[in-house]
Amino acid sequence: MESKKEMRELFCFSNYKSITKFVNNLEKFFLQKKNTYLCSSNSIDMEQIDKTYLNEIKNVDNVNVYFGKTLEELKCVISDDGFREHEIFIKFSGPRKYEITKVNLPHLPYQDEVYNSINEIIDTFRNHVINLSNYFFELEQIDQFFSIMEPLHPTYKDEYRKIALDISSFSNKHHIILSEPVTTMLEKQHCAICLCEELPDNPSVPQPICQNNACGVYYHRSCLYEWLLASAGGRPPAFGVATGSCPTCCHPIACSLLEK
Amino acid sequence: MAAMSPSERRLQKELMALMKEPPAGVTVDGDQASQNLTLWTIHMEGVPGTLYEGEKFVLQFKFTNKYPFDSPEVTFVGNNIPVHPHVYSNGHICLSILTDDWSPALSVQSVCLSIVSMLSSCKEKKRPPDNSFYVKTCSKNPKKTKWWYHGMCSFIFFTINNFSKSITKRN
Repeated sequence: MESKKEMRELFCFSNYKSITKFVNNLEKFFLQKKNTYLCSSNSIDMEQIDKTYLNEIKNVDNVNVYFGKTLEELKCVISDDGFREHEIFIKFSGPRKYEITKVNLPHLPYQDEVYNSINEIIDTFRNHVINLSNYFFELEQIDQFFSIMEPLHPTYKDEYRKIALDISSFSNKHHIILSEPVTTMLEKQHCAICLCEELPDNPSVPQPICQNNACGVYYHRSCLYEWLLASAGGRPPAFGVATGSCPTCCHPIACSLLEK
Repeated sequence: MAAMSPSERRLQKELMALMKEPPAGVTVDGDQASQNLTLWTIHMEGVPGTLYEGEKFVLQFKFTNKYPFDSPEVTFVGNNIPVHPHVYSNGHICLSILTDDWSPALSVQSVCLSIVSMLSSCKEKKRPPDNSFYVKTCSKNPKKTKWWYHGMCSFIFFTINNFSKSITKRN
């Protein structure tokens, strides 16, 4: 505050008779303030920070490091004993402050902490990966031998799989190691309301919600819900279950936004 | 390209399907519709062997951004408005699936088919009995009319409903 006032006085030109006087004052001002502005304890030497940061990146062992859109965003890829590659996204948010922005693994509390160095993050991440090796193996088995209905593009981050139980999954059960993988995935159905398979902001897939066996038309839960709400005059339904009739066969139908 | 809204995505898909496999006697003006997805012009020919054989009609579809949760506004436009007991001389159509019985499982194609079948099942070419009164008093938008559907319309609705079901199954 004080220095602001001084500045205002300094630049008040009516105080000066000549330009030399102003320049002299200006010089005096800077000499006086040099200590406070340039050498105070909280002043930041950007060059020094950049050097430390780059050294830090150079010292990362056995890990491929990629830069993101800016130099402050990093992607590290480590591989485990099963030759699977795992990505972790790191953000440099200040000297000795590194944050994890994204991990393609199920969420754990360590991902929300702030770390001193990249190596510290990598070590924690590597431990997480090692602990999950059984989990990866099981998921791979499931993805290989069953028809996955949900999620549409399964990754290690999704810790659930919705599988279609058809004849092939039962016949595979007893000789799962020997059999060929199920090649014929169930044909994905589009939703009769939006005519799409995928919704941009929703991972769920169309399902045969209508109970009429002769109907068998697929809907997204959210699309059907929106229609039942609209056809009932837009009033939110009791207990979150919208009721009405099937848009295709007029059979009574009920639908909630949540999976049963 | 900007992200499409759900209604635009569905209209785009319908337009593609209708241009690729149009029902007999129905053609969509694809250039106009792809420039403005909310306003379609559809040309329709009278089915051979019916009272409208050799005639040509033009249908206009208007969609809101709530489509398919909101029904399209469908009217006959142009010089030749079919003379039919459910079509008023200003182009408005008395068809229950266009208002009360609309369902998002219906589509432009099924609406066209139901209009074709409505025309084809006609036994005598005449205007609705209340034509002159209605045309003088009605709103510009036929969806604002409270229609009172006769037995004939509900008959058409059921045939179309079965029709659209068989289409969905085939696909």
